Amino acid sequence: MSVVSIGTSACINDTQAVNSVSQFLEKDNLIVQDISEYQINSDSYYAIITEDGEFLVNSENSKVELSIFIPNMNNNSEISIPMDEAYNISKGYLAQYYTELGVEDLKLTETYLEQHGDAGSEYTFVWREVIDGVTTPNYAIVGLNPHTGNIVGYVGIYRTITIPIDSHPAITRNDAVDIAKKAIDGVSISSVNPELKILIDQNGDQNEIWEICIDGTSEKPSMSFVSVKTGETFPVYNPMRYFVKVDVDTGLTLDVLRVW
Amino acid sequence: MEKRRRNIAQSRICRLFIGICLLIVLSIPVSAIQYDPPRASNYDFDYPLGEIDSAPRAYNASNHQDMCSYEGDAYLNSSATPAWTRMADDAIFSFIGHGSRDGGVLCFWNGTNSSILAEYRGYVPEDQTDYRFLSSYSDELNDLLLTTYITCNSAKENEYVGNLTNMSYQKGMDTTLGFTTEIGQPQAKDFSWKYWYNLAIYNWTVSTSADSAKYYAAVWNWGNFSGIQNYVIVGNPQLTIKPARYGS
Repeated sequence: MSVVSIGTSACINDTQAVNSVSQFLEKDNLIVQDISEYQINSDSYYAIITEDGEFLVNSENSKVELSIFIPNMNNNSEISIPMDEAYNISKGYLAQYYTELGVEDLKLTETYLEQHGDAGSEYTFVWREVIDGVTTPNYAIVGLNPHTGNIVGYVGIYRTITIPIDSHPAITRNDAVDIAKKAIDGVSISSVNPELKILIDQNGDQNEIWEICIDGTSEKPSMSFVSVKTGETFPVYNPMRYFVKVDVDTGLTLDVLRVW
Repeated sequence: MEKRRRNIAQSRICRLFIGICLLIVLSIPVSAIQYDPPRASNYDFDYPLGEIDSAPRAYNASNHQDMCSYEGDAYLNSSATPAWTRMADDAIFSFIGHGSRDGGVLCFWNGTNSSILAEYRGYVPEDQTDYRFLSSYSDELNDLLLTTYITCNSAKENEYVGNLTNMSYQKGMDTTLGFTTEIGQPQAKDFSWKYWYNLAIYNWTVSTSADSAKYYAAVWNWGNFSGIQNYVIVGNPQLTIKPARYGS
């Protein structure tokens, strides 16, 4: 058993973490193959490997917040289960395991049928909590084998919201968009999507912010191809995506992140 | 006079023949060498200000490969030709950095831009003198066990320069991982770290390592996959990198 420590300050010990996995799987006498520790954002975790897969146990709340059921990945080449059936299976799983919130309190935000080539396929569903138009840090992901219907992956994150939720902050949606557009350059903008969000920073502090997603393409070609026969050139304008974070009270630009 | 014309024609044919032979010799790399321990080459970049960086993921990958008894090398800000030349003698090749909207390109940068492209189809990058095509190799890439292109659209077909993952497989690489869409930079870096960790520490297959890394990248980024779920594996998804070896 190896322990890879990445600077955690665990509140539960590794035995208690294994017990959490055991309860989650409803399985006694787990054969633990490896335990390591992770720091992910402001949270510390135990990563526990068993014959069933990989499990991340939050060392503060002792909950299994990530599960990857490795044996369930097998036999995933054929897509036998239609999307709506897969959705219902994943919704049922969520109702059973993401007990902090009811499924009716969550909004389905993303749905994928991932095609991994020779590694088969996987359905993935992402739900988020949205309160009065403000997206909270609470979300769940369920991944499903499209042939067997078995759950491949599950993520369930729930944090108590400790700050008041403001649906109509001083900085309006239009203000936020204007501020975000001024924060970037060199982009031919195709869409702008502002979202009110509660973020948890690296210290665990909560803040409400505007997060503006700006999509577009580079104003200048990032490269061009030239035909060796005709000399004709074909410029490539690469897609660009930025996330700009804006303070909801002051309009201060907090962060500009180019994603691609 | 007739004899002189014939001699000139023969001389031109001879020079043309020598020229063609020289071109062939220069464009085909020398046959591959298998080092002991097997060699793993990893590339990442600190692109110019305002661009997205990918360092130090080559270094992280090489450390994990070292743990598996490969000779892992990390190259920060390399140009394309040395990477392309080295590739024939690699057991593992990994790249994390910029790709292209339409796929088929690995963008190298060492102060100037250079590229490795999938397939020569009569088009070349304009304003670049340093570019290489995977298709220029004949069978020298057979020894590559695993190739990983963590870059936008590395598994997408580009009408001008082909598809990197498919061409890699055609050229004999055992298993190649790429992406069919744009991928977010934070997710790409998180995916890379966990993927190599899974391969080296847990000895998981490429398929399991990638799927686990996908979920971790989402958790690190508050549930945002940002394209990282769109990985494609061509070849043997059940491949593991232990014991250290060359491909077959």
